[in-house]
Amino acid sequence: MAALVGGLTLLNTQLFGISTQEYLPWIAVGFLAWGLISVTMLEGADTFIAAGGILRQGSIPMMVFVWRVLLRNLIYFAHNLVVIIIAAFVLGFWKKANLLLGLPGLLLVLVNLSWVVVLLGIISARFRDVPQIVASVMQLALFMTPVFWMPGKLTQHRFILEANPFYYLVDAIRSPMIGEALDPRTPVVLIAAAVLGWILAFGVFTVTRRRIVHFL
Amino acid sequence: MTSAISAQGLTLRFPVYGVDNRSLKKYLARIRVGGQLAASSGGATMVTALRGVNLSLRAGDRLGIVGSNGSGKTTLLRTLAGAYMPDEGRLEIHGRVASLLDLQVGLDPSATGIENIRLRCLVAGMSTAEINEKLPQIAEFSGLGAYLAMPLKTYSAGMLARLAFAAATAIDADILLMDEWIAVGDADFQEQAHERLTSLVESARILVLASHNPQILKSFCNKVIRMEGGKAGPIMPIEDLD
Repeated sequence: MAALVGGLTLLNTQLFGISTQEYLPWIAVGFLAWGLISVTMLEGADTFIAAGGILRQGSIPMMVFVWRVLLRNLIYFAHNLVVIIIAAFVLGFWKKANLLLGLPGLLLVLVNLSWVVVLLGIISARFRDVPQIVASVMQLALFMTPVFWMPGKLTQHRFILEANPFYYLVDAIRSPMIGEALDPRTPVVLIAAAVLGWILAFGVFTVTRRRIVHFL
Repeated sequence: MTSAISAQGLTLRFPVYGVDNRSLKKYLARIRVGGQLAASSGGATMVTALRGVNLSLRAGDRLGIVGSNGSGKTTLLRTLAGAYMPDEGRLEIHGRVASLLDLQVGLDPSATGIENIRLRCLVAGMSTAEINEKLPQIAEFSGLGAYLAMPLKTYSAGMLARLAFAAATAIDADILLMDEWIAVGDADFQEQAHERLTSLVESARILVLASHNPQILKSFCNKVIRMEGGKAGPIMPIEDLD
């Protein structure tokens, strides 16, 4: 991760004409957040497929496997966070970082990721081409989401930004940590998505929970 | 609490999806082309694996299940284990269930032997305290010694079987479910394994064992049912097994 961030900083500061001081925190923390979001979704698609053997043998609550995916990715996140903390001290953006806002942001992202994992896990168990579809969508989303680029450059077609759910997920983690103002829409969008998403996921889970084991 | 299994009219149906039914893209395309096809349960074949199975077992019962392949033995065991939820009928189980249906389930090839023992015990529903207490005894029984600190992927098939067996049979259960009598390892270990399994079976209050081997059934069971096409016959004394 450090090598990728370093290389892209070298390239993009020149391409976009931004200072390293401004760009490095942006891409480093953005990429950290992106890693959490995208890997959780990719692994989320595999949640129940990977648990097939265990689910066929006994009555372990299925949500255990959802928490397993989330917890594993939270550990990856904490692991990568070390790099960010070092960068924050070297570049001095720790002085601006707002952890009080960053933690609720992370929590909000996790609440949203968890319902996505439930849904993706169920759909992927039934339709085995879904993990590949998720992988290609995430690849596209990485380029469409302001991780490598800054949204200030986007003057026309703002809907690319505003209609992209990943923008808000990344923003909730990144902005507080690099000491920038949160997009005021971010908390609203994420809370609404969490409520609606969990209702949807709970509904789908209730209907399919008896069947999931037969999908495997 | 006394251990008991009570099942009335258990019926289990499940869909079997062909390769064609496993693709979301094809599924969506089919809805667009002709909605009728998709509406008929996605074109999956429904299999009725259990038809109105009645079963009533109490402490002391040792039930053998016989029947040809595909008669529903394993499905019945999995339903008793709680993996499958019945579509119709009632199932009540009192007591802690240990299912020895697949010993190697939940093992992680990149984790060490010790870590895998812990993992396997967690899957079986043991608490951390219980695992800590049993770990030395499981490690000793496996006979793997220093290899337990190595990742599982470096194990031979025999070593893997030893580890899985040692971990899976460490549980204290009221109700023991087994699909075929388990025999693992070399001649020496087989004897130890047989002994351990026998004592596990004896300490369980209820045993349900599906097997094709009449000798095994006769030596461990006192009752038997015959499954045929998802239906279970009446519970008979083991002496009636021909």
